[in-house]
Amino acid sequence: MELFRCEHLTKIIGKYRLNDINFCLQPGTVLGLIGINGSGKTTLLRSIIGSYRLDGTMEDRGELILNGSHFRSNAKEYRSQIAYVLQESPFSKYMTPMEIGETYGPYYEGFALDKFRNLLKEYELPEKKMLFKLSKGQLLRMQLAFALSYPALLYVMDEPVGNLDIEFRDIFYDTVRNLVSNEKSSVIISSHLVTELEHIADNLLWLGRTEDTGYIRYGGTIDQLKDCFRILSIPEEKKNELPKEMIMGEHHNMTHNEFLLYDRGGDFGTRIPEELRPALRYADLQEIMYFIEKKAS
Amino acid sequence: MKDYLRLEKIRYRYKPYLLIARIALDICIIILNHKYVFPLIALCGFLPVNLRYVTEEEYIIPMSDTDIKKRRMMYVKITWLRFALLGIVNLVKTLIFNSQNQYDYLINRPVIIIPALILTLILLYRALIGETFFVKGRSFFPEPVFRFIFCVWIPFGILTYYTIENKNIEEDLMTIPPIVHIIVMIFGMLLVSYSIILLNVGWKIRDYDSSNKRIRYFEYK
Repeated sequence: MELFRCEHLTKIIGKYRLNDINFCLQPGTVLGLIGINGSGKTTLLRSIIGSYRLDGTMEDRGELILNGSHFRSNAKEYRSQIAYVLQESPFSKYMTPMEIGETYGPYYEGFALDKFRNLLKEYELPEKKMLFKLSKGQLLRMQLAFALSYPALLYVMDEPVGNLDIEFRDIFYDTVRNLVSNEKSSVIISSHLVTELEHIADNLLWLGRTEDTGYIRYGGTIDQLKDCFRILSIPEEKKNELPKEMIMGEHHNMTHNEFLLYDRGGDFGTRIPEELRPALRYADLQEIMYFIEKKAS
Repeated sequence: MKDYLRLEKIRYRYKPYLLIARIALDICIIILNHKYVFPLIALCGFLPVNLRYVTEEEYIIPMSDTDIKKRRMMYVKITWLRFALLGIVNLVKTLIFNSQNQYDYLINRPVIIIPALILTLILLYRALIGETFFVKGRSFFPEPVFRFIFCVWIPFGILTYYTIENKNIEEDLMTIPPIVHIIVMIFGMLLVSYSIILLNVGWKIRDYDSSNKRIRYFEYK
């Protein structure tokens, strides 16, 4: 049974249009959200948590369903099952972390103030310091502490690791793994740190952008995506030996050229000339993204 | 109510001058001649309605649209009730003050009209937010055009009449030219009415816009 479903979401923000986003999420999974700047990651996440409405403009479309609760018809129940860690803290900057817990905690069923206090201590956050005096990393920790203090089904995290120090990143990734280990909750996490995301995410949603429109470039498992791509490092003159339709991107350096090759069935063994096969290797997610986005731009 | 007090606490913590301004305003409302109280209330009541600082949390904590509207309305409601209360204190002061010298004044028009106007405003406000007097759950003024007539033109007429009549009664007490007094009163009343219209006719919860936090969410359609 699926936990979360995003159906035909179209969201207009000024001139920007996030177009027809469809995906679903199983319980116990981590969905990595990637894309270049302006592709619509934050717009999508803000739509999911409810900052952006599904009827903000006449052209907005779609429905969000979390554990049977529809955003349009039952926003209260829908929102109560979501926890969030956002790039910019959504809370008033003139409040202390403890005041945040005392003020907004009661809106969430099962919010444990003691747990929140303990997490603040664990994350070395001051209880009585205004939010505007905290660093970006501390604000993220505070949001994480808040998110962990009540039982949510969907955790939405918008670029959470960019401002975290290396030590806390480990804690953060462990926390994400623990969240999904109960097979009840799921996490959507957006990041530009694709390599790190690759290690933690089960599924991937890759948003692309054409002019002012954001759309899904890829949705599925990371392994499926990687199976379709290979990197080939060969001299320029051997490029003609490659089937042209397989070349999805290339990168030139002093001695070699790197080509990103694509085959839907992953059948590189038969389609690449035998003498070139030793130079073939798997592409990591960052390379795939780099080549594809470079070609698209 | 808890929410309101918390918001106020947050507001004044880092902007104490706002607290001083509010106390000064409240004192003014109590001690001023009742004629100047209305425009003052109108102007001061209009500002917090339209210039409220909004944070994103309101959009994402588990509340239905109705809850969000109620939460926002609480702020406006308390603001108006506070002013109404201060207006009544002003009135009591006027009654006590005048009763020592001139008993006729007690039954004179201003004494009757001021609470009547305050009551009218409160009732109009209640009607517009759906808390009807007669039929539960059904708006007293279903059509925007009726709301406009009831909230702008009728209060406008009453106030104009009151102002002109009041001018004749207490001309000697006026410290500012009568025409200025009339204009200020009319403007004040229009602002009150317009803010109520904004609040209700086109009430819409919009997308949260982080680039423009000082949004007017009471959008007139």
